[in-house]
Amino acid sequence: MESQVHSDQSYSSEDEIPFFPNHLLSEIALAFAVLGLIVIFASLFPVKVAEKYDPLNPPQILEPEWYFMGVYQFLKTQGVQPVHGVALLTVLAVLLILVPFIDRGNQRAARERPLMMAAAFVVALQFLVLTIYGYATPGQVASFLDPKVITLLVVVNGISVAALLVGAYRQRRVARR
Amino acid sequence: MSKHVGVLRMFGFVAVFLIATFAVSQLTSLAPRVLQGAASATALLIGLGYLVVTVISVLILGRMIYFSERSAGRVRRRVRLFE
Repeated sequence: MESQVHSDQSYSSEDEIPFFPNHLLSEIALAFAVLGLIVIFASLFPVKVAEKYDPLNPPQILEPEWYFMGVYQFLKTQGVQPVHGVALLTVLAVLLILVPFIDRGNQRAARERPLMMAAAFVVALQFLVLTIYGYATPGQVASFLDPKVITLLVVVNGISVAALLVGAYRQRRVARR
Repeated sequence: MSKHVGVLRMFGFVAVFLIATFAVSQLTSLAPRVLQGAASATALLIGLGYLVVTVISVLILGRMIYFSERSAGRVRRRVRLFE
């Protein structure tokens, strides 16, 4: 807070940059960089058109694209309703959108924001594990009573809780500095 | 800033985000017809309206994020349009 007040006092209108062209051009450059990355990955790993769907001979196992596999695996679990999947995705999307409002630290570097980094790691880990589990068990319904599922839940959630605790501890140390 | 204002700001942000997403989706569905020259004058007018909504809502989103980042002390270079 003190540094914020200090920066407000030492701030003059000469420090401002115009939206056009300075700010807009830097944003456009970033957008082109992202677009370039997507083009490179699309060229390196082209997606082939799948076999034409035949309603008289439907495939035995229907699977979504990779980016939905995690949610699909969550939905395939016994007792989970489609509305739970929709609610989960909505909550995650809203939280992701609101990150600038939730993370109130004045640091920009990732190592100075350990709690938010831990939260991002946990979300990525959960999706990764669900996606891998989905590909490993095509067409099978998971059950919370299955020992393998219980073990997976304990291990993944244990790692998640540990990451969040470490993140919270390091965040306190960063705040004290 | 009180907690209620902060929560209201978040709701506002999500609302504007949804409006921007809807406007962009309408524009992208209209774009192929416009590029092929198959769009009617009415469709063009509607598209123009959505374009205006997209630009304004994206600018509002940018300003809200900018102010959030600025109040947290994470802005290095201030942008004149948002000040």
